Amino acid sequence: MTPDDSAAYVAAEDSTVQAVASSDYFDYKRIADLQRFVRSQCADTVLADEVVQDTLVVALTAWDKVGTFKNPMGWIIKTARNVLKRAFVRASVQRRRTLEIVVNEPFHEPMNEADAQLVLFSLMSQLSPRQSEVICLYWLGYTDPEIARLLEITPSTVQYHRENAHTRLQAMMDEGLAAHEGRPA
Amino acid sequence: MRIDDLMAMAAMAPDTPLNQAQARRVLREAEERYRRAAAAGVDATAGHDLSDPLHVDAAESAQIARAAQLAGVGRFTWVRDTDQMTWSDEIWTMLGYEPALAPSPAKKLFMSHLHVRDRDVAAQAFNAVWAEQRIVKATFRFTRRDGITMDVECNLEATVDEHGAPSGVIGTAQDVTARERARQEVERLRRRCDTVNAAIPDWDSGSGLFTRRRFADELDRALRFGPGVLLILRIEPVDDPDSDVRFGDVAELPGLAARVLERLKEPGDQLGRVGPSEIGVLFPKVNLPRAKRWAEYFVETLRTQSFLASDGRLRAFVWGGLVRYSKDSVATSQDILIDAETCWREAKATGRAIASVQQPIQPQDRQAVYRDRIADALRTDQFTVYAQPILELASNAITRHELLLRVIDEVNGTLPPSGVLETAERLDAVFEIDLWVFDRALELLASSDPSRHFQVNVSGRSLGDARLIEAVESRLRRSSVNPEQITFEITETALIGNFTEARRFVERIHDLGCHLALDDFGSGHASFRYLKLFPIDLVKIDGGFIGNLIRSQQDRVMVQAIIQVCQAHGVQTLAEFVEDEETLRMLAEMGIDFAQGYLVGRPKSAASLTAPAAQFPQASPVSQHSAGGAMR
Repeated sequence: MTPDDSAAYVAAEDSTVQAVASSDYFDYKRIADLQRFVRSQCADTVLADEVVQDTLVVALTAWDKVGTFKNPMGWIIKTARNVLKRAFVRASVQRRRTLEIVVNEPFHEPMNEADAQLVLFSLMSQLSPRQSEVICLYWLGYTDPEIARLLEITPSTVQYHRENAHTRLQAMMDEGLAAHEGRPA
Repeated sequence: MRIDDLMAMAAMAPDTPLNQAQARRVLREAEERYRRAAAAGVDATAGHDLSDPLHVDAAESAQIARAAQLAGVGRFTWVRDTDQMTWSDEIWTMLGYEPALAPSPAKKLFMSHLHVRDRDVAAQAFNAVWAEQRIVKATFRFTRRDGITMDVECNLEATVDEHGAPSGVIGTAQDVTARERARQEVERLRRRCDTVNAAIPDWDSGSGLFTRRRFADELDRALRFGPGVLLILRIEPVDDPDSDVRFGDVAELPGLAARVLERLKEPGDQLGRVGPSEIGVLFPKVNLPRAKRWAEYFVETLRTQSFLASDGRLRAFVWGGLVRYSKDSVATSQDILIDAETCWREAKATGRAIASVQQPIQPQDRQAVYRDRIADALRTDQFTVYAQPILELASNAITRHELLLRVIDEVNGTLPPSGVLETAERLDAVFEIDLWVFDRALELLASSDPSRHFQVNVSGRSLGDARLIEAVESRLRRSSVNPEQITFEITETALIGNFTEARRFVERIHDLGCHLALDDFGSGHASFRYLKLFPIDLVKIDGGFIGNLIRSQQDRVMVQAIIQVCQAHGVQTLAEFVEDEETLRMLAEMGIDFAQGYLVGRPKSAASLTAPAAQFPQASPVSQHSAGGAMR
């Protein structure tokens, strides 16, 4: 996108006060985090984008309240989870189906952020839903107690899932790398 | 590559214009949808919870506290800035305080209850929680106000302030003492597996049959399941006119008889060695007439059987006694065994092959019969007294003897009296036996050197008998013996079981001048307390601790402890079952006063003691070789 586009964007803005306020909040990083969370739980990129959109709509609608929270992102993540759950139910998406394709791609050490994300997501999709949720939130920087509150489980359960997920991910990486380089795992 | 590196790389969010634009596009689209939805009157928030998940609600924490309370879990909180600690009432209760009357919570108080040895562990856990912001679950020991140690499982986590920096620690505490104790008990039992000796044999070595005790257990089991019959066969050797077998070989006879019976019996029937010449046969679920037919069959077969002993042939006299028992019989297995014995004696006395009873004998009759038997035995010299020497280490001389009861069995010669004494105690017929032994002691003392000293056993039952004091006192008055030459030995368990009477007896005999020894010390409970409560002169350390002294550290520690405690109380100590030089040396170093056992001397007929003490050979085992081997 060129600077002209961004100017066009600004010009096209009808800008209700609300929207400006909330878009102040929704900087690149926060949108990215939301996208990452949803994308880690849902391999279908189209569906993931839908969910991100729906979540943002809810957030904007409830911004009166949510905007007053100390850390609205927490609520946004939790809401995204719920939206995702409903979307799954609606679309009856088979998460695993898409993944197999990804796994068959040759494994290589990622060289940049985008690569790394792809690898990470494909690995995370092989974890159990609980494990992948926990490890994703950990990855996004939330502490155990926070994760516990977002997922409505106890902190010790969070710890349990996080440790298991961590171990499994590492194991999968070692295996993948080794397979790629022809070494015994 | 490490997963953390991968995550770090994937988390990089370069703030490029392209990325920025993409994010803005997403947001713009969402805003568009929002406006359309709002215009259409659709509430996008329908079905969504609008509370802040990351905000800790006061009401909610009250709910959590209540749930914790219900679960018996205590909660505590520490705030860094104020270094203050608070906790819920459950913690007070756990620590042994009454919540309503407890002082203000203070960190120092809390820490003071933490067990000394767990302080380091606790510090480590705390650091893990604080520095690494991890949730830690750990078990610590706390000492309650009343001194009891308890195990508490804590979950600790750090609280954070608005900047995300740690501001305190909160935790839950749960009493898991029962669980920990159970776990430790399992561990302890695992360790103990090696040291516990299978001292109670189930199998009789001579015949390969169940021992009496084990057989009684089988009978107990059978009693629970239904009626049946118990048969006891008495087997005595008889001279085979065509052979010249000596009587000494007859110990093998019951073993051989057992082999025969094993071939004859039905699979469901059980055999057991219930006595030196007795074999028990248990017929579960068989009625009496049928059992009698079997008994007669056994008796007939064994009588006509010729036994090949080591140097010739033997024949056997056999008698059988049968008791039919029913499922809800009041009589115990021991009672039924006694009744079956009464029956075979009856059969032998009347010259019949078998004698039986339809049901276990009435308790009063059983007792009466047994008492008569004991009285008869005492009168007709079926009991005798043996003496075992006791070495006094200080003077390296035999200064006293323990008098032991022996039963004279017409078949087997002298036998240890354990079976008889056990039954006599049960049926309250032991008083006469104990007095009889006391009479023999007085006789021996009267006719020997004044330096002699005898130790006489008194059973628990006799101790509880009101007639004992009077009987002992009158006998002492009538004889010319100095009471100082007598020590009464009482077992710990007997003392505990008859506490008041024991006290009275002990005080009285002390007035008279006699001594008191506590036997089998270490095998009961609260042993050391009794040293304070009773005027005891001597403690006999249970032989079980001495036998393995040189090999077992646990035993050494125990024995050393007993010796030290006794010395502190001014009580002398004696070690039983001393069988070798090394053990004696070790005991001498520990400070034992007396030693008894096969190393010192085996029990011999007391009659042989009428020779004056001066002629008794001096033993000097500490300096050189032992006398006559240490074989048991």
